[in-house]
Amino acid sequence: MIFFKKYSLLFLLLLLLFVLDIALGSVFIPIKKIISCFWDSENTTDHIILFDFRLPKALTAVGAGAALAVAGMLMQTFFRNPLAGPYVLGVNAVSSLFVAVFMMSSGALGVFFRAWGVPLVSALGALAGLLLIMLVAKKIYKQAYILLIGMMIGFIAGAWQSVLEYFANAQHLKNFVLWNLASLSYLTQGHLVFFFLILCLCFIACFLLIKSLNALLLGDEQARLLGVNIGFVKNAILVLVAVLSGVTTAYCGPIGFVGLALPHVVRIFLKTTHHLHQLIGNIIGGSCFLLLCDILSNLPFFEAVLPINVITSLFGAPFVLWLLLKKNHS
Amino acid sequence: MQASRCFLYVCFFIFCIACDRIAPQSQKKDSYSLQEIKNEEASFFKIYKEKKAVVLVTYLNVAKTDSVVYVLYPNEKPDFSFQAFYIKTPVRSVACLASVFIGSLANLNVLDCVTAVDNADFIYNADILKKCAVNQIKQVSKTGSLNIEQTLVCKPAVLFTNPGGDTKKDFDERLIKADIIPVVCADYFETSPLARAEWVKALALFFNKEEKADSLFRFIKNRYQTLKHITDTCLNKPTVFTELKTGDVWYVAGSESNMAQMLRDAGAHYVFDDNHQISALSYTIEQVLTRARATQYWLHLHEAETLSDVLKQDARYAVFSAFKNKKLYNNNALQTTAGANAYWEQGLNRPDELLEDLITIFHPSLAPHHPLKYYKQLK
Repeated sequence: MIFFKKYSLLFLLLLLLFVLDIALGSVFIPIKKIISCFWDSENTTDHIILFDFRLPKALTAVGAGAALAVAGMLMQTFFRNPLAGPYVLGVNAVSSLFVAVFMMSSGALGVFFRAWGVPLVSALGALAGLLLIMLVAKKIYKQAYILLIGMMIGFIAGAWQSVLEYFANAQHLKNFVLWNLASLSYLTQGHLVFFFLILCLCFIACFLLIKSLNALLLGDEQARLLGVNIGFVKNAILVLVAVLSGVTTAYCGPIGFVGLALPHVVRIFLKTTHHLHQLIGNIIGGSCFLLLCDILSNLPFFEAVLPINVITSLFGAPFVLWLLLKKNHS
Repeated sequence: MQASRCFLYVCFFIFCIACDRIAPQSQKKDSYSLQEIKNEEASFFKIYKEKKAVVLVTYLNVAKTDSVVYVLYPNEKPDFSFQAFYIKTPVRSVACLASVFIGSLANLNVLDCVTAVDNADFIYNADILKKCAVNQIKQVSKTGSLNIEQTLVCKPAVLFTNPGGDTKKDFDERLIKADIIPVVCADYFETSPLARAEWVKALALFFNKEEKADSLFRFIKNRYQTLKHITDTCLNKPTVFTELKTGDVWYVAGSESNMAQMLRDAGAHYVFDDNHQISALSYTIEQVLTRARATQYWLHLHEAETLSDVLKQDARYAVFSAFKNKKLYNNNALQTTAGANAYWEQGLNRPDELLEDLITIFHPSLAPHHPLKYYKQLK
């Protein structure tokens, strides 16, 4: 009953933020007009702004927020480390490096490879980063060392990325820098169908793994005694994290902070470590968080747009700090 | 109180040092008399004549609060009381850190003096490219920032560059110590295309080619004004907007920029004509869509070669009327395989030719036999 109330609250918040994200923007559209746009199929500028720009962006925020939060939750369970996340462990950096190599050498490739190559390469990069961390984790048992090594991998990938940027031609560099700034407005309706299809498949797989994920929290030995196929579950988690963070990074650019912070916020809010509740909480909570960031990045009533990455860190980090301090005091 | 006074003294001290670095000092009343040669259009440089030398003053920012003085002397070095860079003319070796200077020097027939360029990928001129290929001309800024060691090896007498916003960087002490004088040209702050073209006069001073520059600029100006008069009587002013979005931001030329001025001169109505800014402004796609959706013409579409290139960047560009009517014109008709565009190198130095292209686009009946030179229609 308590969870039902909390889910209802989260869901209402999601609805409210979704409506606000569509209603607010750099161009003022009165509420009456917004509502009428849903009934009229008239091809007005307001209609185009709502359906071709604001709605896809809001849906991208919902999908990307959910995907990154769930990926962060899976990594924190996998490493049994509250600081694990695609950004901290260098997974995003390796993924970005793969995309940098691809984008800066893809001039000769055909349109098909340029369009579909980035999501694929980004996911492969995320997988490579995860495998690297996993190899290290097998040899080193101290959690702090794993995090440090993850950060080092991130630095190395970042340095190679800078080397590539230094020697890239102007057009390739521009494309990569823009992608690297991250944005929720790259996806159009066609891309969204594919994006949500992949996300839905990943979330279904996560729901099927809930028992095993709960068992993993007890440690590998205990989980094995409970009948969990550790090897299979760990591989499944790796693939899921790679696909979730890789595809999101490919379509929106590398968005930091969400994967690290949201699982903590959800844990504090729901007061449980059960993965069923955490999964639902992260899906809704991640969506809410990125919708809020998108609203703030568009700075309603101001004629400017801030990069989404700036907002996630600028407003998100103090909020999490406040939550953690509050939890510590209580 | 004591602390605030101390702070004021420190500020004053820093101000004095900063002024001493580049700004002309208060002139001593001596036997030198400087006579200003009035510019016709340009306002970001000034030329003064003196018996023994020519004095060039260039401004480094839009507010004209920073300036730098060059004393160009052909024979005996003068001894003025104000602080300046002294350069013996004609210079035999120059470095060009922007392709627009290559265009100016080509018009002055002094390309042989070029010994260094920033990056051959940005150069359109075939002669310069040939020399770069055999390393006769060095590329000193291939990775974006100036390679000081390579520049010192080339040892050009002057280095033509644009202001980068940081005076300390623009006037690198290591270069000045090696007698390589940075000539910082704020040509892109000029608000009219003719003013920008008039900078050829400033550059000509370094090669003693003042007469050639004067006659060239007179020719360009006369031709530009003749073309402009053709559109003065046009009642129909087609609407136009420019650029594509970069990330989430759509940078739009300010209404006081020389681009906006040229669009007006070509008899078009620039839809972002009300912001009263020289520099580019950032808009969101929603704002651009609201104002420019029904606009007739769309220019300057980055690197796009075809209509499908535009859609590949964002399929939603198709909602603009200009796209539906296929009235998209890009300024990349002449470019090398590396992407160097003649528009930035030659076109900015020949605003009359650019205006002729634009009039052909907006009013085809007024220039029926003119083939487009710098622009092409996307298909």
